[in-house]
Amino acid sequence: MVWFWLKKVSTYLLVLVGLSILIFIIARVVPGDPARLALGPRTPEETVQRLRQEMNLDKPIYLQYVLWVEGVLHGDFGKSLMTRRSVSEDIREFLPATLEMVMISALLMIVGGITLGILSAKFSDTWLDGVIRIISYLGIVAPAFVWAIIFMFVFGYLLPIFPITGRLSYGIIEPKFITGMYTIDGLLSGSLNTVKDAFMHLVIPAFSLCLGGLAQAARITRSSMTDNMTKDYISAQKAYGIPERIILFRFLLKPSLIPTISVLGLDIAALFGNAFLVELIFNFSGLSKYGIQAMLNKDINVISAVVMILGLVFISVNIVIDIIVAFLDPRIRLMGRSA
Amino acid sequence: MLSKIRKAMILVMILGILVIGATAAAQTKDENSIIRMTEDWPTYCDPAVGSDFSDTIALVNLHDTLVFPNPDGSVRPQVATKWDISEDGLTYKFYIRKGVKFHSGNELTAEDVAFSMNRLLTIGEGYAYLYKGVIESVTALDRYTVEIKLNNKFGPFVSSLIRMFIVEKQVVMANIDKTTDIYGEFGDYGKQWLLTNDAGSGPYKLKDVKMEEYILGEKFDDYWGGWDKDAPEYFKLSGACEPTTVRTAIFRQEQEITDEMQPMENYEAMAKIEGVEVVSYINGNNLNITLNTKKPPTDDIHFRKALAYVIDYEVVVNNIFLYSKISNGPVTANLPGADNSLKLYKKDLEKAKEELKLSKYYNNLKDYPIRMTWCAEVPDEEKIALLFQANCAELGINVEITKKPFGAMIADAQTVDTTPNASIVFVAPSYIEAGGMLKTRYHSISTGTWEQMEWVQDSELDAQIEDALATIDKAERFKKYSEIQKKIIDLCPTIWLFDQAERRAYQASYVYWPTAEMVKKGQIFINPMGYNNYVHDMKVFPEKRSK
Repeated sequence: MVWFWLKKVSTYLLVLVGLSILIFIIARVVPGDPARLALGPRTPEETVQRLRQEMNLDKPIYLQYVLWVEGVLHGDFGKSLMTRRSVSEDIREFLPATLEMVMISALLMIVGGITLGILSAKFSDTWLDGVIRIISYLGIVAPAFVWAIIFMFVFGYLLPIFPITGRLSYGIIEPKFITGMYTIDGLLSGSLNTVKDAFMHLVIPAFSLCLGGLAQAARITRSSMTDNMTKDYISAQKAYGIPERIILFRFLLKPSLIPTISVLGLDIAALFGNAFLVELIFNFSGLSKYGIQAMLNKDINVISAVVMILGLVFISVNIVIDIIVAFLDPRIRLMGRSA
Repeated sequence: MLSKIRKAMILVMILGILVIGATAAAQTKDENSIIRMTEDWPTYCDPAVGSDFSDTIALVNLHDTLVFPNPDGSVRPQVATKWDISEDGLTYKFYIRKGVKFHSGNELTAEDVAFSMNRLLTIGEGYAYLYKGVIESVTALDRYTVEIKLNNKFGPFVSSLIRMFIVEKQVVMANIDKTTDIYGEFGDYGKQWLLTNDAGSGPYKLKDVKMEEYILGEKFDDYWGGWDKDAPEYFKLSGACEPTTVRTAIFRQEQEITDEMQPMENYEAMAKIEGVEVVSYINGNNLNITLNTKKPPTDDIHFRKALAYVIDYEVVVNNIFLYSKISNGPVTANLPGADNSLKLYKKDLEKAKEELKLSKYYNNLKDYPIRMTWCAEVPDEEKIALLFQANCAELGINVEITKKPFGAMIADAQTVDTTPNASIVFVAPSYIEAGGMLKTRYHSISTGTWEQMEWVQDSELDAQIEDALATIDKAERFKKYSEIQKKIIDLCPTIWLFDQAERRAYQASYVYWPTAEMVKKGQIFINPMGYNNYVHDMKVFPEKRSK
């Protein structure tokens, strides 16, 4: 079992190394001079050349990679051409913002998606099932940024209940940095006003982001449960007179969640990428917006760092999914042991 | 006895409360007295680094300069009360105003001015390009006199000083990062610290910076220029430029002035919101189609003139870039030194055909298609490219259109062969005078850059431009500019499409914005980039907010 997991983790590490090489090369071969782009077209050439030297862009590409890896192993991702400060500092500031939004989205996705899926399966072919199906289709067909604009229009324009930009309202003091997530930091520093304000700023963005995954989770859960309902072992338990509630939650839900959890895992990991437009619309200074702007401005150090972080997120989520699925499905645990 | 002590204690408590209350009252600023603006991000508040639109808006509000621009393009004394120019035009002496305070409370002296210019030149970023190669030395002669020596005579030098923002030497030097020696003994020259702090003396001081989100400025009560009672207590500049976000913020009165990059439909929608007005004004930029004069077929002057006569300028300003004005020539019409009496090309198919017949390519047009590039970051340029293609087809000229990111256009501009025949590009003057456009656009020094994809390389023209810029007398200098403009028009290296109109929506019901007032009065003005957003001269009336 340990060997099984060691093999998995080493594979993932190899993937990370491969990803780092790929993104490093791509960021540097795409046309455009990052130093010139950063300093503007009117800056004298000698100033641009100085920046190129500072960023090691005058060195061969393999040497640049070696120096970069050396830096990364010491926690130094280099300097950002956009913010003009260290990428590590930027990530420390921006990653918690996106993490906070993604965590709330993920929670909504898991709880909302699975609940709607269960309801849809239990009351299949009723009006409730119909309503949930409509919600699911709407969630799947429209991307997150479209929902963001719709919700901004409804809750920002027609019914101005929620704030529409930033992470905190003007006048609210930022809590002391502990995790970088304002809701948690506010709670830890006892500033309930900040917690409430930060949460209000997260509602529309998080909800816009979660809809696609929530809809998918609901559909897959319903489909899986409906499929398992026809299995012999369920019929047998009904024949034994076991209450429906116990059948639903103990015997039906567990195996039905396997495909849902697998898809949810990928959806949650993809939230980081999907968050870009949502963050842009709400002027939410998070990692996704930071990463995409880096790509548009050819901020090569940031591009590499953000892609590596996203890679790490995908890998971590995959590991967690594997563990959960192994817990849910004994066959996988047994397979792992025999391997 | 006890009652006396008790009375004394009560008196002390009352006095204490009064003092605290008075102090608190004095310190409390009205948070509703704020001007919130949006502009493209990032924003650099360091005068030696920033030079883009949002940077300049921040800089003009946080810092002072030696001179300040007037709406007619001239300058007036600011930190410098007066100046002397030597007879040979190479030495300038500026006399510094006494009693100007930095945000730290220290007085601004000649030493700070000299430090700021030297710092700008050493770092070489931001607006340094205006002074590199121009300035020989900057020295503080005494506490209130600074001497600037030039390498060559430069007529518009004083005008260009609107871009030299003054920082406090003491504060910057106390915050340099000595772990790096990129600038020798000056370490990083305070660049890291100035990302999130300011060392200025301007009407506002930096209160808060959230990277990638906003900067917040707070009124500097001791500003030497004084304050109107309705001047805003705060200004906020944020990067939330998404059209939906801007429109919602304007509707909710959570933003006072928009950026200039909104789509036309958004301005039209905002104009319908109660209390909101949309204003347009010429901002000094113009849109050109640059023609590569060293590459067939645009290397032929008659071919170029044919193109200049065939394009439909009216469609451009009436249907694509609304509110803009058809160009008068190589210099934006309201720039000081622009000669608006010169005749420019207009759509005339007959003249276009006549010119084309004189061209050496007339009989084999099919072998010489025009390769045209437009900038991907400005989607509306595609419409101009398509219009140009359609208009050229009337002459039998084939145009091949390519969309490219601006970075790729900069790379293409580096050699004659890689520069396309035609490129659509916005150009802006380096400073508010015709010379600022003529030199960067047509002097050989700018060939190989995006600012001159024409590859004119005319030594006679170079000499004329240098001579004009070296002329100290303004009237004489402007006369020389006029001759240069006429020569360039005759050479026809460019199709000058329009002078750009900048549009912004603002809360007219509770904000007084001097720029908007000039527009409403029909006044012709030219404010350099950033100065239309000078918050000190604005007024805000929070009690007039409807919501």
